[in-house]
Amino acid sequence: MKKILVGILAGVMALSLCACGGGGDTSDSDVDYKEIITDKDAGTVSVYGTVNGMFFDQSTMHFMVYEGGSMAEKCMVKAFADSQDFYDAMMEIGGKPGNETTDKIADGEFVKGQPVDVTITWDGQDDPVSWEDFTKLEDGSKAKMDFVFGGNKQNNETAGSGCIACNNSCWAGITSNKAYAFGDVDAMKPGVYLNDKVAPADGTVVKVTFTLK
Amino acid sequence: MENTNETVKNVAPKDEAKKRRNKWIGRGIIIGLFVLAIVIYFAVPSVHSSIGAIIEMFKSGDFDRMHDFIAKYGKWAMLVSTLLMIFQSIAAPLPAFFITLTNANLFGWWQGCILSWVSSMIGAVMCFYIARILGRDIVEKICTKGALLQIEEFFAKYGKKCILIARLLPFISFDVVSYAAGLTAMDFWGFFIATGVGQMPACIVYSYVGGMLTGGARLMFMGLVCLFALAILVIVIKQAFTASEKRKMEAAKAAGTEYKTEGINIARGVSKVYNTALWAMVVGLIAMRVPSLTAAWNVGWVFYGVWILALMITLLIRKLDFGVKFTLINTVASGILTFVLAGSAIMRKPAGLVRMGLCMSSVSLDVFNMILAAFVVVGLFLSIGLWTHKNKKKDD
Repeated sequence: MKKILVGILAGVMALSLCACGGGGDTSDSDVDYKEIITDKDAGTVSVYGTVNGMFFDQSTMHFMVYEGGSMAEKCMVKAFADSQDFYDAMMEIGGKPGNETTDKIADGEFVKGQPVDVTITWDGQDDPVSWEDFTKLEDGSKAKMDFVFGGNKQNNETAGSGCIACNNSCWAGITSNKAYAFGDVDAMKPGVYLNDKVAPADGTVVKVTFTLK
Repeated sequence: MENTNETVKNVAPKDEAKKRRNKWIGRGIIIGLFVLAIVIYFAVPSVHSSIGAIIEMFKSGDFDRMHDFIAKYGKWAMLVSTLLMIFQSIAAPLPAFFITLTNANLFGWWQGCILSWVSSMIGAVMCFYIARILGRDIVEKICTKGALLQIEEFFAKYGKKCILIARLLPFISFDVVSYAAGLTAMDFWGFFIATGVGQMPACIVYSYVGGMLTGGARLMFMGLVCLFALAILVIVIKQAFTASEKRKMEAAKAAGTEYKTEGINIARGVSKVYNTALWAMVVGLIAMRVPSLTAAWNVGWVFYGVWILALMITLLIRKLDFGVKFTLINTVASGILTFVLAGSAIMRKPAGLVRMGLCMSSVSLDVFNMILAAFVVVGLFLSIGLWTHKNKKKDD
């Protein structure tokens, strides 16, 4: 009996070690993924994050969330940088936040702010991919895209969610997609997914760039 | 002969009084130092702000800040690092591994490892003695004599192993363990050796391996260390159970009665763990299909919550047994339900559920798929194998 147990334990350990080897190391020692890259002339802010493959098959209203935020496990791209620093970076390049809400907004309401374009690149994909191609609706069609710099830094801090970009209007996200009202994606009107024909595999490091329009 | 007895009687109270006096002196020194530290903290603004900055630095988890802070002291950096480690030991909730990482980065991996190990040992010893000098008497007063005797006996026998396990498990606070050990009657050298041995893997991991392994692999390594610690825990439980059975048997023998032992029913326990995990997976996958639930909750916790709850209920109902047939049918039925609920996302949803509950999205879904596959296969064979073995034994 002891031999069987030892054998099983050894098997599990071997499997775990194999898993270690096949863990898909995406780190690149030359790049500081925590860094927020700003370009004042181009009006861009870029943030690194990893793709969460769970959302190829699951809808979520959270597009990009700081890894230390409470919504970090429920977003499509988990960011290495803090959402509060992201707000400061957006301000640094001259962004004009909506800052219209001091509290939660109700379901069906929209957020205002300066329009922002959202594109994504990753290793092997140097041409920027738009958010509307990176994601999809349940039937495979494109989701509507109208991101704005909502700001609401205080709300973001109070919520502690770490939200950098939301797939629908949101009072706590620094940027959010006002093409859909608050609560729309959670209520599956519509559900927003990662596009498995475009987005890279689970765990891939991507660079999300926000460009002021 | 009478004279000798008298001498012994006279010496014992003297020793006792001396011990008590020393204890009070120790208490006085510790309390005095604490009061002095508090007065200095509030009275001297520069100390107040420096300590505030150090706590903020620990809380931020910013490795670069810690690195710069220690490095700026130049030749005194080692001393500062040691003092920081002692400070974090006494102020329990601060994470120590930042200092270990910084030490490895500043002084080289093995020099850093030795420095981290030595300084954390100093910290652990200080916590142990603070608890022993200040808290031991209070514990003696609070606990009943019988309960205290039982606890003392347990720690005298298994204390070292408990410390070793606690040190190996990264999610148990080092400092809390040191304080707790100080409250028990375990001897200092037992604590010291177990702490030293248990602390070594973490020191080496963070100093050497920690620098090389990244995210997922590092977590898997820690997982293996946990597995090792849990294996020791199982051995301790088994030893404690055997000792208790032996005691009962001897008591029954002395009373002239017969004691029949049932033994630890491993087969029953394993099959309950396995079968309830399958149910939890199905419930978790159903929860994933409810948008309002996924929006408001981390549905991964539904899986772990249902698993723990179902396991507790089934363990409480001692007569409940899941035999070979039940386990087989449950595995097939749960497998079919998982396919139906996950659909084409069969390779992502169950793994995603388990990963989400652990908040470990830095580890790839492939790793979780392998762990799940290993769990299903090993669990099934273990459940069936143990039951068959048990029945065979019964027949014999």
